[in-house]
Amino acid sequence: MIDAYTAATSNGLRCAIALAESGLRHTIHKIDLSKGDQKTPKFLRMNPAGQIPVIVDKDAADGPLTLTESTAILIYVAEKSGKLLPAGAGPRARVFEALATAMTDVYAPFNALFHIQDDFPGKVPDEVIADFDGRIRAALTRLDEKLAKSEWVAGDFSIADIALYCNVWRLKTALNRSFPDLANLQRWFAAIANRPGVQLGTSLAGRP
Amino acid sequence: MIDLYTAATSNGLRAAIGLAESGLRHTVRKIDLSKGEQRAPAFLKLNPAGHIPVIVDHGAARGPLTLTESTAILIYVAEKSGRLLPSEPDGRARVFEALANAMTDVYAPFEGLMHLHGEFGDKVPAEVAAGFDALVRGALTRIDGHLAGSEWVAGAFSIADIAHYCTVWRLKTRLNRTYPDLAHLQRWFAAVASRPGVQLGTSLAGRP
Ligand SMILES: N[C@@H](CCC(=O)N[C@@H](CS)C(=O)NCC(=O)O)C(=O)O
Ligand SMILES: N[C@@H](CCC(=O)N[C@@H](CS)C(=O)NCC(=O)O)C(=O)O
Repeated sequence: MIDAYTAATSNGLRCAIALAESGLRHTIHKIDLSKGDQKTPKFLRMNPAGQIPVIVDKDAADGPLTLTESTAILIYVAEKSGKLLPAGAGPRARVFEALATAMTDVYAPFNALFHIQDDFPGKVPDEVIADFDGRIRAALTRLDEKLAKSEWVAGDFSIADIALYCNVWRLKTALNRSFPDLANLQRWFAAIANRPGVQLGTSLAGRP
Repeated sequence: MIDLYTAATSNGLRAAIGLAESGLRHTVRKIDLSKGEQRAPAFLKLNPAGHIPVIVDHGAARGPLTLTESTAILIYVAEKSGRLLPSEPDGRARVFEALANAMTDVYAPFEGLMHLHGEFGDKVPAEVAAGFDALVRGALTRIDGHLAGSEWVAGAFSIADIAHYCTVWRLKTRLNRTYPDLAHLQRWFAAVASRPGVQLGTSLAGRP
């Protein structure tokens, strides 16, 4: 049994969806970030950084394992369940490549915009914001081109789709950025949003 | 034989050091970003995004494999060589946790800082850059705390050390950010820098 402590943010949703899609037995514990649940002594014992998501796998190989970092949780859950990540070296590399794109080329400029909006509203010139937006759009456009020829971002449905989906979802829900002209990306986004595992994970993580 | 196309940036160095430390046979081909070599047709065939690093593994199981994304390259060379990443689940999870921490909690705000400070320095209020500096420092301070009790960031020397090292190196060489007060981080940085594989990778990638 895996306990997941999470919330409805891009990082939190990544973890909730991966667990739901993996089929591993788990319980979701919602952490209310606005109430500071992530700074309680009990939570800080699990993650001294005071951040969600965190999982505790009571049945790990060497006794209970506490793990932070949404990307690491994706990989752990995939390797433990044998789902969402192929075993062959070539297809596996493609998944890690797309996962890395999601967590660097898309996530870094998205995260910058998020901080600018929340912490420094009105302080950064439009031209600089546009530069970050341009980086996100360039990365998503490349993915859109890839999705013109394939159903998912790297072979079968994988942790790379989940990682990217949560960023695109958060760009929409938190930053009001949607990309209606990227038709293949839209088709892919809708297909993921329709998956029962994704709907389960999303509903358990709560409202953003 | 693996061909690496790279340059002396944080992402470029990550791949060069990963290969040098893996012991896999490889050649390094320097790409001069200032001359736009990453936009040459031959390079764009390897990576349509026009980004370094890229590897081509001529010895891959199913024929030549072209792979982008420094993080994916680190994982690929680790799994291929059987080095720099443990095989048992707990140790692996710790390495992926530290690797994810490097690429999201340190790299993302570092990249934000590169743009806000490096590229648009005169247009962005100092307090905004200071906010991103604080995010980087917060993450590095937690790593410093961890390094107080252990030699490397996650168990034995791993791809997570390489990933972190290249970002800290770039913070110094590109943004002149050093963290002299984080003594454990300094000790770790010097230990990584003095490894023969790291020196080889760094010298092959060229001057920043
Ligand atoms: N790199 C981490 C980032 C985790 C993170 O930033 N969590 C945020 C929510 S998305 C958080 O818990 N913030 C609460 C706080 O810092 O007080 C991951 O991918 O899991
Ligand atoms: N997420 C990618 C980023 C690659 C990247 O941004 N490469 C830069 C240098 S660090 C580049 O090639 N820039 C050249 C250009 O954009 O023209 C990775 O980790 O490899």
